[in-house]
Formats: sequence, structure tokens, C-alpha cells
Amino acid sequence: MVLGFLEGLGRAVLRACQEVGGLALFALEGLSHLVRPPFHGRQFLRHFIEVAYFSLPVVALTALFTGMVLALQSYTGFARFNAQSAVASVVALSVTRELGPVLAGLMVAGRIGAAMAAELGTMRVTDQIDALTTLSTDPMKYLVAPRLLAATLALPLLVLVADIIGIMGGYLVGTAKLGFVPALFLNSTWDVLETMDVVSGLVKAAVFGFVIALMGCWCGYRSRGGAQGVGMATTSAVVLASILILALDYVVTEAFFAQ
Amino acid sequence: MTLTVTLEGVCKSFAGKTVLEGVDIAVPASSSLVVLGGSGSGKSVMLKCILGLITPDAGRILIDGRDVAAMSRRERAALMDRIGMLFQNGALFDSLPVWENVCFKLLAQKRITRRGARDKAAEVLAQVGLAASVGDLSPAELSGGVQTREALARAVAAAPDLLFFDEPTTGLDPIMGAVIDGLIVDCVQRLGATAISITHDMASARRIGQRAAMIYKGRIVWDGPAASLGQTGNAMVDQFARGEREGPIGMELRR
Repeated sequence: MVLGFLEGLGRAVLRACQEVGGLALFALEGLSHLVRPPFHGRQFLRHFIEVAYFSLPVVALTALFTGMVLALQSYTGFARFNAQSAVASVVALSVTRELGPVLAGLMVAGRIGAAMAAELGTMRVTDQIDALTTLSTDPMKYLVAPRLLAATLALPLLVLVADIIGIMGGYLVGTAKLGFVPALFLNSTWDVLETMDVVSGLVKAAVFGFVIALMGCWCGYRSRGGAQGVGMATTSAVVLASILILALDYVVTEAFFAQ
Repeated sequence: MTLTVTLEGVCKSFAGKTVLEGVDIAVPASSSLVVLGGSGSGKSVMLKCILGLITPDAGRILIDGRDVAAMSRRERAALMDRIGMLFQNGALFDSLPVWENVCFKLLAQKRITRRGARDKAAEVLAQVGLAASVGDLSPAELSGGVQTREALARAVAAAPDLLFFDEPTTGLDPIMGAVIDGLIVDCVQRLGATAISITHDMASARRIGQRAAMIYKGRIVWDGPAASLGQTGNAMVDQFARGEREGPIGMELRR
């Protein structure tokens, strides 16, 4: 019985190692195509627009309401310590350092990661990926590399917009509902923000963008077994990307702000 | 210059299940071979092995006398430039219009400009009996028969020396099937290409093949003229060709 348990455990560990190794090789191959011609500029542009432009409404609304709620929550919390004046600073730092990139990442994982996995998964089960090979086109170069690059570059832009809208959300609640003087709110925001706060958020966004595209492509590319397989690939892509976003958020934060 | 294809003892298994068990067959240049077999007999796996989409566990695949497995990435890419393939159900790219699907290979190889590709697509679509206006549609807007014609146009647009057809008439009505078969024969003859088709449609096999081979349980069990299908003297092939319930194939299924 103990041997059986150990055997099962060993098999699971080996399988996990195999999966991680496979993912690493997949990522490296995808990245290698970014520096080796030919380049598929049209594909890059298509996915860049898809990620950066068409995700904008979702990310903007998320950021707006997050900033608004954050101002309200921090105001009611800080009122217990007579520290209401810190609301603008808390909103600015929380949005730029943490909530902007993480929430934008999670929203984009749900929207773009799922779409990538579904599209590649469908292409896999309908032989379209094999067809690419017979048409003298490397599927990794044509399908994966442009998506990786597009998401990595687009997410920082989205997060930059999310930062501004999130702070605006806090400003709206702060000035319209909580009685802050508009100029003072903006001055507090401006004074507390440092370049590193924004830069760390943008670096996180780039990492999250890469992870979202990587998981979407990896899960979709390997999907098997028709509609059910594509559905499972889509779910896996979103779940894995979301978990990795939260885990890597800690890693990047540690790298930037560890004392 | 057309290509020869030779398979020597090709074996392939998936998760312990043997699919190909020592396949030997030779296809001379400019000839047309049809591979017959029931569902799950290993036809598609054999085709994917030849194309390099699946690596065989054992045996050799020689194209023009050269071992595909021993080729460098560049050599394999150069070989792929000379191959055309019509996939079962087309495998057309949904995100691209028909004209871009048809000229995909030429565009990928930069043998043609995007503007030139539209004219070229119209020309190739005309060869498979489609109007130039079809070029602007999305594959999803086309019927099954028109999708197969488009897939055929894509397979032959770059004038390949070696053509593969995977169940080209599956899901089509008999008349459309005959039309597709006629187009396949025309295209192969016009290009002077070597052609390998896999099918379980007997009427199609007789129309498009000069030679036929039957694969059963991962082995080639018969190889002869396509015209003789149904009267080969091989009980297994004749049963399959006539679609009879009783015979060695049925007996084996019941065991």
C-alpha cells in the first residue's frame, strides 16, 4: 500500500516535471521565433489590436470601479484613525503598483487567454495547425510568437490607461462624495507617486501579458479530442494564467520593493 | 520534377496501441496511389508520417530516395515547398478570406505580392470551377463542396510535385464527390504530380487512383490496379470494396 502510494506520487511528480519542462521549451521556442525571420507583422498587428484596443472597455471599467471603491473603503477605514487625508495617496499607490496590473491581467486572462486557447485549440482539432506546416509555415512562428509579443507589449499600455482611469475613479468619489478639494486630491496623488511605482506596475503588466499569451497558446496548441478538448484547454488557460498572475505578482513585487 | 515516395517497414504506436505495423509501399513518380482502409486502420497516421507531422517509431520514409527523418530542418522545409495537401474537411483558415487561404503558401514563401495573390487566387479558383467573387468570402460562408474545392485550390496553387488527399469526398453528396474527383484528376494530370490519396469511398478510389493499396490492422494487405477493386481475388479487399457484411473482415471483428 505504501509502495503504491509512493509509486503514484512519483508518477505525479514526474508528470509535473514533464509538463513544466514542456512549457519551458514551448516558451523558449516561441521566443526564439521573435528574433529569427521571417516575421509575421500582420499577425502581430491583429493580436496587438485585439489585446490593446478591444480589451480597453473591460479594463477601463474595471479600473474605474476599483478606484472608486478603493477611495470609499480607504476613507471609511482611515476615518477610524483620523487619517482621511491619505486617501489620495493610497488610491494612487494601490492602483499603480498593484490593482491596475493585477486586475487588468485577470480581466485580459479571461478575455484574451481564453480566446487564444479556443482559437488555437479549434485549429488543432480541425487540422489547421498541421495544414500550416504543409503550407511551408512554422505554426510556432505564425501562431505563437506574434501572440506572445502582442500581449507582452499591449498589457503595459492597457495598464497605463487603467492607472489613469483608476486614479480618476478615486478622484471622482473623493471630490464628489467625500468632500476632498479637487486640487488638493490631485496634488496628494502627484506628490506621493514615484517613477518606480508606475514602472513596477508596467513591468508586472508585461510579465502578465506574456504569461496570459503563453498559457493561452500552450493549452490551445496541445488540445485534443474535439469540442470537449477545446473547452478544457480554454478553462485551463484561464485558470493557469490567473494563478500564475497572482504568484508572479508576488515575485515581481519582491524583486522591486524588497528591503 | 515529380517525386517518388517509399515506405519501408514503417511502424507507429500510440500509448501502447499499434497503428502501423511495418508498412511497405513504393509510389513511383507521376503515379497516383489510393490507400483504402476502414476507420482506424491507420491511413491518416500513415499520411501524417509521410508528411513529417508524426514521427514513426521504426522504419524509413524516403521521398525522392532521401530519408525524411535524416533531413535537416531546412531540407525538410524545402521538401515541404514541393508538397500540397488536401485535408479531410478542408482545414481552411477561418480567420482569412478565401483568396488568402488559396495563396497562403505563395504568400508565405514571398513568391507573390498580396495584390498579385488576388489575381492568382481567381485563376486557381477558376481551375476548380469557382468564380473569382468567392475569393472575398470567408470559408465559413461556403458549403461543404465549395470548401473542398477551395481546399483543393489551396493544395495545388503553388504547383506542387507531390500531392496528398485525405478523404477528399467525405461528407459530400455523390454528385459533388464525383465533381471533386474529376477536379483532383485534372489537377494531378495538369501538374504531372505524384499523388497519394486515402479514402474509404470505392467510387472515388476507382476514379482518382491508377493503383490502389489496402491497409488493414496497420499493414498493407493488397496492392494492385485501382480498376480491379471488387474483383481482385483478395477476399478482404473484395469484401471491403463491395461493402459486404460477411467476409474475413467481419469475421475478425466478431472474434
